[in-house]
Amino acid sequence: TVPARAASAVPLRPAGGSAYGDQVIIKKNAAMSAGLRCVGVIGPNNAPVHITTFGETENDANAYLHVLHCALDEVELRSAGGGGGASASSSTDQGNGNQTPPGNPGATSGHQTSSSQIQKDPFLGMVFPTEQAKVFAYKTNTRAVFLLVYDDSFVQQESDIKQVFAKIHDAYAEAMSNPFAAPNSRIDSAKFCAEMRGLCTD
Amino acid sequence: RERARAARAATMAARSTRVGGRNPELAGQAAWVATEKVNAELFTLTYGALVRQVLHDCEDRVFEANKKLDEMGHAMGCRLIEDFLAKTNARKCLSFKESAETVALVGFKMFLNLECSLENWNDDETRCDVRFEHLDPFVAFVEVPDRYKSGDDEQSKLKYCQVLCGAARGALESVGVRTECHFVKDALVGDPSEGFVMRLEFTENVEDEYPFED
Repeated sequence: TVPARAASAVPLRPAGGSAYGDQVIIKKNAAMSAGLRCVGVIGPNNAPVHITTFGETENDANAYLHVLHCALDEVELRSAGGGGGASASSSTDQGNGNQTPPGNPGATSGHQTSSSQIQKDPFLGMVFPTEQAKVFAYKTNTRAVFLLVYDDSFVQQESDIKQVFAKIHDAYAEAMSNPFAAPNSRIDSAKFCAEMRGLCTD
Repeated sequence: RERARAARAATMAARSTRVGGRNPELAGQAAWVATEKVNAELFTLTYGALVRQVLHDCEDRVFEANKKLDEMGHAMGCRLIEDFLAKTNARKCLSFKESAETVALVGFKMFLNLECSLENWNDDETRCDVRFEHLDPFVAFVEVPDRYKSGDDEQSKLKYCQVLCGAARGALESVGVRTECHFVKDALVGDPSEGFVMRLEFTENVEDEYPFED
């Protein structure tokens, strides 16, 4: 049984969803990470610097590569020109009441500057829905992108997702402060990997 | 941590009643409070960039890089000692033990806010270990890649904090005490649970040289 958390109610696993079986560990404060399938950190040059997968695909980093790539395309679209058309189609798609419009002020206000790389809110919201998963994106001012792939059958609160992104951002900043770390190469820090892994069972 | 603090407080209390009343911990604390501060992260990132650059200049030859870091530390120590003597009213140290305490408990505290303790003195009182509670100004965020910490030979491992050792050595040399200083336990390249322990060993007294025959 799942202990209910005051902030957000986590639905019980769907009866037919035995595919994920015992892999998803839900502890008392884990509501925010329930359903997290994959964390991807993409460096400024669009190459992945870190991928952690949870659940069934625990050791298979490539399982979500396709999803991450598509999500990245969407992120680029959104940050390039406000992405008016693309964002409209994807945010109205889900019947899920928790979805929020992208935080890019360019899209909502209607005026776009051609080089608006500066976004006030790095949280881009849900960028890519597939049949089984939702992808949330967070783009920093240094053009690094964090992607979270959540399982479709779980409901997430936006505030929880933002918290997870905040944690990733802190961990990323620490990993980048290592003098031996290069901005576009794989993140070798054991501490960072451990923190990413801890996101799901947190 | 609490226990260590309590032990230190006890020794401090005991010391102040000694003849002469030397209390390096208090002096260190007072000196630290009086100095101007700089952002710790600025220091850490600058030091990291420095080590990176030294490694780059030495083309990844760790032995050379260690030597270079030590030399840089030595040069810094020679200059810092002047600053130290001007700012603190330290008396002349009468033994190596006093010198070591002054460097570790007053000097390191004043310039870097490093808490440390001196332990493992040998019978002669010419060698001791300086155990640091933490070396955060130098090693925060740092993870040394494997290529600099593999190898059985101690010399092939990167001595990241060698500048600190060099500084201690340079400062003591300027006041006439020649020493040998290196890290015996380095959490960055060795066992992380063992922390940082620096060995300070007295070699000889430097004779005052007079420039002319009397």
